[in-house]
Amino acid sequence: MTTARFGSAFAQRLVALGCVGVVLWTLAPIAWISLASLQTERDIIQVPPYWVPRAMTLDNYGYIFTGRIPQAMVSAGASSGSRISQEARRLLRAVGNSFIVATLVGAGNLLVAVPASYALSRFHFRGSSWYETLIILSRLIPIPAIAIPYYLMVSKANLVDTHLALVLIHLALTLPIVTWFLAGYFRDFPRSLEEAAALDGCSTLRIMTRILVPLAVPGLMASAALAFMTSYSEFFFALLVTQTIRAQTAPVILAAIGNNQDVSLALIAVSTVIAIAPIAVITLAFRHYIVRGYTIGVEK
Amino acid sequence: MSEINKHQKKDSMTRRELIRQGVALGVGASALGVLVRGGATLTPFGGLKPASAVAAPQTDLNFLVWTYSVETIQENLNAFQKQNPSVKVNLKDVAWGEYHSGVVARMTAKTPTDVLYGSDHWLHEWASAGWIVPLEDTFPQIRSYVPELAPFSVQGMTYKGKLYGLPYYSDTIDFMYNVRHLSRAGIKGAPASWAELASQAKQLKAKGVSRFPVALAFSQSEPFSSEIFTAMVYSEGGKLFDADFNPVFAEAGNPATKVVEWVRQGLRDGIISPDALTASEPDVLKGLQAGTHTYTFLPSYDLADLNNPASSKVAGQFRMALVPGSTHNTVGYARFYALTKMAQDRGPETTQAGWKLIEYLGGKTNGKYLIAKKWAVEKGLGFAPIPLLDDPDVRKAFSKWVNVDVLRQQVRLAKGKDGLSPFYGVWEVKARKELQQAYIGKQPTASALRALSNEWMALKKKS
Repeated sequence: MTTARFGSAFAQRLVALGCVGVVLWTLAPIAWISLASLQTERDIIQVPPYWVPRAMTLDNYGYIFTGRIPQAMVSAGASSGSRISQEARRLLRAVGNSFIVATLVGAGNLLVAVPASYALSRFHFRGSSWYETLIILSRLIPIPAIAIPYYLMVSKANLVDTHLALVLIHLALTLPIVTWFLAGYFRDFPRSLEEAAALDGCSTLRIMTRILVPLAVPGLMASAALAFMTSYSEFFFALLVTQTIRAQTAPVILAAIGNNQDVSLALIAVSTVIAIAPIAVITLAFRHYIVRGYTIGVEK
Repeated sequence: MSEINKHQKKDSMTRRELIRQGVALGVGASALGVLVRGGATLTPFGGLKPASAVAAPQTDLNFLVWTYSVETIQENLNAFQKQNPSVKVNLKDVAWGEYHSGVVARMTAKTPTDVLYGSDHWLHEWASAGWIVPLEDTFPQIRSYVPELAPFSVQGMTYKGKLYGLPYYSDTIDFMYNVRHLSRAGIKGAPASWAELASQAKQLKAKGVSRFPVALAFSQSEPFSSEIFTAMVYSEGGKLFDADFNPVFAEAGNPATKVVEWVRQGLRDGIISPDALTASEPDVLKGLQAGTHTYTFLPSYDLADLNNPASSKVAGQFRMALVPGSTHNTVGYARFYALTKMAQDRGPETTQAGWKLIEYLGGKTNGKYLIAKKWAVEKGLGFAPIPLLDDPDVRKAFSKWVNVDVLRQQVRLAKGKDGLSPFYGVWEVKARKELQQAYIGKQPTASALRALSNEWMALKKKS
């Protein structure tokens, strides 16, 4: 049956080769930047490049974590150390800020989107179909068009440079699409279980929390992951509403590291690796749920 | 009483005691919190004093900068606050690329901002909007700095004849070249004219020394691209606008045409790197540090990075020469500290504190330009105070990467940007795009320059 489904062995090999190609294409930049993070600045700008690093060093990581200037810069002369990017030293705190905001956004999405999408999927009320259409239409609004109004609201509420400002903005950005996704997800669940529970006297809330939610864990994980990753990597509003390391997130600090004339490719590489590490760990840990959540509709 | 009951009684008494202690702790903590919020502080001996007995009146200043060496800025502020204990400075930073948008948002929303970084190309826009104030109206002593500052820097901080700030740093667009590349190609010295530059570049290419000898940061998103273009026009004795802010660059005989033609031909001949149209300052810097290019036009502080052995494979090989051209003029620009209208509206204490901060950072302390010198020595940043060119520490630090006499000569030949006006910023962004179209031959030079001229006049009419 498998052969019938996928064709000849040659076709299977072709598909496998294609998959390997896609994986390499996706992972190659990550591999390159990981290797670059372990090299000195001079080795990185080598032309032609060192495909296999000539000498590896942890000094770049040492600078981020301890502030100790990399040996290559120290040995080059006292004044050269002062030309190292200071912004890189703020990365750890920025990653922490990103993590806090993204976690709250993920949790907030589940808290609000689950009942909202359940209502959309199960109940018919006036305007329910318009609501889903509006959700899709809202995605068409260019972000810069709403930037100043958002900033004005945040400023008036005295929330500039706070985690709360970012959480609220990111919730506004992610809730519509997560609600829409979960509504479709819930619609695919058979109603028989809920009807049986209702017959047994379960309230709507209990049906949602005790029956639907446990069954929908893969979808919920996928939604939470989507919200988390959107929030974690959001740059525009993070740049607009933050102004000190108290709330600046990883994308903001990464941009600062890369924009100044003391730009160091080695530090950009280290910063990128550190910034994507939490996302990579979380995605790997929950990959089964995430994949299942995104593909369950396809299987049906 | 059974053993079990005794244990239970003991447990319940322990629980009761625990709860009692917990409540006492909670009440105590709440009371302490209320007192602290109310302004009391703990003294070293454990007593409590109300706020009025502890803290002297303090003026809070909100200082906005773009994100560069924020730790160094904070060091400077700590030193300032030590000297001025009645002033507390809250530092905020926004990435350079989004600084202008960030300031617009802050001013629109009236987010507290008292002192901020400014630039010559934004001065007219912000001053005409009433966001920043002329310092010399309230502090006429600021004029005493003028004779010691580079003229292009003073021009860049002046609007309607009034000084709006003191310099953070100032710099010039300079011509840099790799002396070892020239030596390998048998070229004796740096080019003095554009024709000579093209000729040398072709020689370097033919001999395999450099595939694309000229590196330019002409990306549409790179603000320096306009300044580099302006420098090239100035180097031939030209200008972009007349005294009445009318564009002259599209007129017959203006060097702007020659500059555009030179770049276009350079791209065709392969002496200018094709990625010039997508390259920004850091990209050009890295390419030069890798030894792949020979010539470039960048601010002088980039020469410090080109000759930095920690990051450059060609450290020590780069030199500065006067910008090629008949007059060797170039463009100078000014970044400065400005005081906002918001600060002025908050009252005389805030205004005075703001001035103190600006003068500490951009002016003299005990007769010396302490902070400008610190930026120059530690970071290689250019400076506006001319006396610093003779400072032994500055000369020693700069000599590691530049010939200070050549630098001094180029600074003397630097002119401020003409055409600075409230709409210059908007026009300049469009100029980058139009010029690119001309460089790649998508439209004739004359058409591109005429379109830019018309765009300027339309903006001038609206303003």
